[in-house]
Amino acid sequence: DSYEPPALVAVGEFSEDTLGH
Amino acid sequence: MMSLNLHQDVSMAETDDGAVLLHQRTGRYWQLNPTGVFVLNALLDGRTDEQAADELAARHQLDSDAARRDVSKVVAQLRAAHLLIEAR
Repeated sequence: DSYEPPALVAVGEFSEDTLGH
Repeated sequence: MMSLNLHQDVSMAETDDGAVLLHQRTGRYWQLNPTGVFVLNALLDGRTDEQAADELAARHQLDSDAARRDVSKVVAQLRAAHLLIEAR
């Protein structure tokens, strides 16, 4: 015989605190 | 088989590591790896899950059944996150 299986990973969430917008 | 679209509130930005998907209404965002982007783009171009899996298998010399399992899994993840919807 490079393969990495398809994957979706939750990263986080923008909040009003993050954005200020 | 109905075709799939990104949810209207979802934006995708491709990166060196795949893509970031942002749900602009909820503020949640996700990382999709490069093979995930390959599958998602195939689906958004109108290919079926099976066709996307066959293309993935050909690209990476995978067993067809294994590719279909991998595609089914990531499609389920995308649906569960409400990132993909059936095209009307």
